[in-house]
This record gives sequence, C-alpha cells and structure tokens, in this order.
Amino acid sequence: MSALVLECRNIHKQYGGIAALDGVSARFEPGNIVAIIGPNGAGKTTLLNVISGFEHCDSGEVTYGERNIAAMRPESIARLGIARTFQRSRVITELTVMENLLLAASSDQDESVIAAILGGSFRSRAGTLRERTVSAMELTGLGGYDDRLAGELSYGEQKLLAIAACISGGARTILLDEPLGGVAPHLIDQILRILHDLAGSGSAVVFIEHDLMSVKVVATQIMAMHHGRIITTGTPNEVLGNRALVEAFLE
Amino acid sequence: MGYLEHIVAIALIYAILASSLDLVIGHAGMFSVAQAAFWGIGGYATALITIRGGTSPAVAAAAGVGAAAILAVVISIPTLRLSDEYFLIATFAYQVIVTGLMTNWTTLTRGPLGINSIPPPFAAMPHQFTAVVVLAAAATLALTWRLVNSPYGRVLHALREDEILCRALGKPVVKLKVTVFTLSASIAAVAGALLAWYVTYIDPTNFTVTESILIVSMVIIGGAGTTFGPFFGAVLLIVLPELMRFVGLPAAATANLRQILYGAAMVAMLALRPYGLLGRQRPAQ
Amino acid sequence: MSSQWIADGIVLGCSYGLFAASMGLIRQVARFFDFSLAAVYTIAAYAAYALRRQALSLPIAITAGVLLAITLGLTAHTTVFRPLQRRRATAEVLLLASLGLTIALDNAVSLIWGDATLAFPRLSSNDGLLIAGAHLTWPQIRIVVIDGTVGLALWSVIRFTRFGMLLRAVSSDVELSRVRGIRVDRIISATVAIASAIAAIVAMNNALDTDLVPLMGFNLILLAAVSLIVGGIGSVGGAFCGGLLIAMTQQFSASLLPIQWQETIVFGLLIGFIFVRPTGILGRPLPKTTV
Repeated sequence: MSALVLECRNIHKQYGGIAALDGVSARFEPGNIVAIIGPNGAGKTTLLNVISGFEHCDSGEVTYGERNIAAMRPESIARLGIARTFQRSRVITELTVMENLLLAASSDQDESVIAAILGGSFRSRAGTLRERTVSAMELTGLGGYDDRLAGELSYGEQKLLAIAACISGGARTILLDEPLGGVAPHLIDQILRILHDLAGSGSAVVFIEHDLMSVKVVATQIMAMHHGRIITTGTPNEVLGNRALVEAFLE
Repeated sequence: MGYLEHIVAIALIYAILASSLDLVIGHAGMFSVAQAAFWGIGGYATALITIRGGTSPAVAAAAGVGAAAILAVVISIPTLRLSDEYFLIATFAYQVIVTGLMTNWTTLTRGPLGINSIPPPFAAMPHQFTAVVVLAAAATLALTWRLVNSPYGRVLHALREDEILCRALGKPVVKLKVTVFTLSASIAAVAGALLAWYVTYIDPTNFTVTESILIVSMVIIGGAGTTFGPFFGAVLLIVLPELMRFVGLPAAATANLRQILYGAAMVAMLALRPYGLLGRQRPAQ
Repeated sequence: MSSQWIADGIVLGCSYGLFAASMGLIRQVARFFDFSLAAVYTIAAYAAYALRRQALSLPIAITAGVLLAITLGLTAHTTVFRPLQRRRATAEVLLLASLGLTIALDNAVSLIWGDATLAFPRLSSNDGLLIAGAHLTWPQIRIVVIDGTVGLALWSVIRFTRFGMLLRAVSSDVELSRVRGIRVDRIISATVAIASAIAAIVAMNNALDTDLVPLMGFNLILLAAVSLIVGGIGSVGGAFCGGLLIAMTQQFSASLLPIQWQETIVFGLLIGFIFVRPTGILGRPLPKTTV
C-alpha cells in the first residue's frame, strides 16, 4: 500500500446545540507530519474520530485518494490503510506483544474459520506476517519484547505498541491521538523519531499534541484548532512564531 | 451397565452443547440463552425430516444443521447491534419463541406429544451409538481446541476484550460475531440429532429456556473460555444429581435439588471467578 | 371486544405494570434487570400463605410477607449483586446471576411446598361487582385498586420527595451523585427494599386471586420485563402503560388464537419492539453498541 492524500472538506458536526466541528477543511499528504494543536474541547479528537469512521459528520466530505470515506465504518477505513491510536492506549492486554502485532497484521483470510480448521493458509502466510511484526517492533524500539504480555507493559511501552500495531497493519496514513501524553522524556524522543522515520518512508502522519516544543521539533505543518474551527495552519515557524496566537492558546 | 452408559451419553451430549456455547460466551464474550433452541431445531428437523420426508437420518440431520445455521445468521445480524445486556434479553426472547413454536405448532411438531420412534442412523443400538456420541464429543473438543488456538481464536479473544480496538485494526467485527454464533448453533443442532437418535423420543420440554440457562450454567461453572471447562461443567452437572438418586430421594425432590445446584453454583461461580467473565474492560469512550 | 375482556386486561395490566415498575426501580439505580425479584415475589406469597395456614390473620400474614420480601431482596443485593458490582461485573452478568438465584430459590419453594397449586385460605367468595357490563371479583378489584394506588404513591414519591430526587440523581449519573456526596449505596438499598415490598404486594394480591405455584413469580416477571422494556424503563407511568399493552395483547390474541400462543406472541412483540421501535413508550432508547 502506498499513502494517498487524505482530505476533509467543510466538516460540520454538532452535539446538541454545540458545534464540535464547524467547517473544518484539511489536507494530509504522504511524507508530511501534521500536528493538530489546540485547547481541550477544540474538536481535535472529534476530527480524528470522524476521519477514522468512529463518528460521522453531519455534513462535509472526507476522501482518501479518490474514495469518499465519510460514511464508511471504522473497520473498512482501517483496511484502506488509515490507522489510528487512542488517547488512552488500547492494546489487547491478554495477548503478548508479538500476538498483538500479528493480530494487527493478519487479514480476514488469515483469521477465518476455514483457515483455522485447515491450517494451511496460516502456515504459508506465517513468514510474511512475521516479517511485518518484527519490522514493526524494530521501528518502534520494541525488539525483543515478543513474549511480553501487553498488559504488563509500562504506560510508555503500551504507547509504542499501539504505534507498532499501526505499522504492523501496513497502514500508510497514521493518526495519533496524543502519542506523547504522560510519556517519560526519553520515550518522547523515541516516539518523535518514529514519527520522523514514518514520514521519511512515505507515510502521512497526523498527530494531536499539547507539547508545543515537541511539536516544533518534528512537524512539517501545524494546524491550530479552537471551538471546532481551524484558526490557522502553516509551518511550525509561522504558527509558533505568532506570539499573539501562542498566548491566546496558553490562556 | 445400561444406566451408566445412558448417563455418559447424556452427559456428553450436554458437553457438546456447553462446548459450542462456550465459543460464543467464553471466547467471543457474548451471552446467549438460546442454545437449547438450536439444539431443538436440530432434534426436530432430524426427527421430522426422517419420519415425514423419508430421507435418511444423516440427510435429515444435515438439514437440521443447515436450518439452525440459517436461523443463527438471520437473527444474529440485527441483534448484534444491541448492547450486550439487550443481546442477552433478545436471545431469551428467541428461545421462548422457538419453544412456543415447538409446543403450539402442533400440525408440524405434534406439540406437547412430541415425536417418538425416531429411527437411528444405523441399526445397531445402543452400545455402538454411545460410541458415536463419544466420537462426536471428541470431535467437538478437537474442533474447539483448534479454533481457539488459531488466528481466528486470537481475533475472537481480542474482540472479547476490546471491540473498538479491533475495529480500528480493520477487523470485520460483525462478520466475526455472526460466524461464531452460527458455528455454535450448528454444533448445537448436531447435538440435537444425537439426542433424537439416542433417546428416540423428543418433545418441547427438552428444549426450553430453562435448559438454555442450564447449559449456560455448565459453561460458567466449568470455566468459560477454557478448552475443557464446559465439558467438565456438563459432566459435573449431569452426574452429580444422579448420585442423589442413590441417597434415596423421591424423584421430584431430585429434580428440585438439581436445579438448586445449577442456580446456586452458577451464582457462586459468577461471584468467585476473579477474571474472565467479570470486570472485563468495557471500551470507554 | 367485550367489556369483560377489557376489564380482565386491566386487572392483568395493573399487576404487570406494578411489578414492572418495581423491576424498573432496581434497573434504574443498580443498572441491571434483577430477575431475583421473581423469587422475592414467590417467597412472599408462600410465606403469607404459610402463616395464614397457621390461622394468623391476613394483615399479619401480609405484613410478614412484605418484611420477608424486603429482607430477602436486601440480602440478595448485599451478598450477591453488590460484590459482583464492585468487581465491575457487567449488566448481563448480573442478569444471569439473578436468573441463577431465582432458579435456585424457586426450586427451594418447590421442594418445600411441592408443585401443586395451593389456594390461599379464602378471604371472600368469588362475589364481586358488575361494572359497565364486566364482572370483577373482589380479589380482582383489590388488584386494580391496590396496585393502582401503590403505583400512584410510588410515582409521587419519585416526583415529589427528597428521596425521589436522590433516586433520580443516582439513576442518571452515579459518579456525579457520589461526587456530590449522595450516599449511593444507601439509596440503592432503600430502592431495593421498596421494590421488594412492592413485589410482595403484587404477589399477595395475585395469590388471593389466582392461587400459588412455585413458578408464579418467574412467569410473571417475564411478562413484567417485557412490559418494562416496551413501556420504558425510566418511568412508573411507562411501566403501567407497558403492562396494559402487554395484557391487552394477551387478551386480544386469546380471542384469535389458542391460549398457549400468548407467550410466543408477547415475546414476538418484545423482539419487534427491540428492533422496530427501540425507544420504550415513555423511556430512554435502548442502548446499542456505541463507540
């Protein structure tokens, strides 16, 4: 899979009387790292949910390449190569790291009842799947963690695992919801490097983040949101150089 | 000797039922109290198609499995949209409706009179038939073991723990749930054929909601989500009350004590099992 | 469509409705369908029966039945359901546990008293009143009057008293209630006690009308649960509406089909309701698997 251009045009979403997204348009291209910043309640996670299919917008378009994905279910969107993480990392705690990654890498056919009974398809795909999972572990620095139970990993390690699962699944557009939240400093650097490497290999990376310093280090583009709208978008220097804006956000 | 064989055969038929239900409850994490309905569909189809349709018992059984599978697909697709609690309630309703049809659609099923003189699949009875039941139970165990320890099993377990993550990973959640539910129903229908052939008589009281709850309690007491647990639960709950007979209690009291055992043991297991069924992370959103 | 069968339907509907309302109370505060109320119902009736057989007066028997019901309900919640909830057991697990409990307790009743139908020592004969062309016996009139009054009283308590306000707070948001200092466990216990008492009242009224069998509670609670879901969980009025709807459906179908089909039809209605009209008549929508 190669990354396509993910675009949303004029997205509106209301909850009760409140506009969570009020005419949001954005474009996410392969090789770019877009950081979405803004205060709580600005609509950042809602935007991510709408793009990934967990919520549906009231009006507007979401396209991936040529395809209209606005009304698709999350599982279908994921299979197009768009993966996401959650603010509170989700991993399958009762499976090992390797099993989590195999889960992410496996396709419908691998996981069918017929395959289970016959066993054949499983065995021949095992090699390919293993390659993907191993490389995902290496890219995220989880090499050697194969048999560790996901439930026993530290908070930061689970964040790495969640990212590794996106990679293992073969996703080329990766949406991350606060990947650095609550993570120890040395892991922050590790994660930022992972995002950099992913973009370098042609993936499109989008991440929501509060830590402006980290954002500045790695993002190629920053989107600032407030009250469901995009206030401004541009390169880190443009956006973060704007004193007035930064102060408005910190207040 | 005949009595012992009979207990073993019945226990194994229930073991097959409990095992098949555990695929849904223990491995996929969905609670259903409709297993006896599929069991009954298998039994009635086998009996009716053989007797009225004149086909061979094996063909009739296959048709029973097919009918159970189709019904499972049809009812599970809309019902899976409901929350787990209402899914359970809906399966309860389906079970009551199916039993109601068995009891009241007398032109088809002879209602409460039941169906007797069900022809067995081959002449020699009953020892060889007990062997068939044993084989079927072993096959069920083997199949369950295989499924559980495969990528299919892995994705079911993942689904059981975190459905939202599974969606985000691209898993076809609805399809997976429908397939496990249908597989479970199909195996239950096979058990229905076995019951019909073994006892040669079935009636609606074999397949009530209380029976479904009993099968659930076998799964829970034996250990949901384990390979041998449901088997063990079934054997325990069938054999133990039989021992009470030797204590010399009147039959009605035995029936009551049996049910008290099921109910109390199920509550106890639900309360004591520190993991598995209880406290599973519900996807927070 | 005679007035007799409408009258009979109203009698049934009142007992379904009030029992549904009691189940609804527990569903609202403890967040699960508590089928063990069926055992509470049955045991209250049998206890009152036993006392009457000992020639104790009816008021004493009834009071004893209510007290026993409250004790049983509270015991079940403190020993079984609350510990399960502390381990974050889900609603369906609690439902199953309540089913297990009922099965065990109902069979204990059957063990002690047998399965034969027992008749309450009669308070009055089958005389009654003729109202608008329908004959209602005194027990039936009592059912409508008492169940209706209790229902109205319950509604008033929920709407107008401080306890009712606390109950509504706990129903809508447990965490927020706790944060606000509401003694949630106490409210739940009080609600369980009220629901159990109500179940006992419905039970004894019905026992005076139609006698006792060990499965009396279980059979009724199934219909009450359907009434509750159809009528709406959050409201007493809704429960009664649901009860009346189910009762009338039974009456109507009895005139078209043999009486044995009633159960099938009622549950068919439940399924229809769950899918076609997922909102109860006066309640909140049924939760789907949301993200």
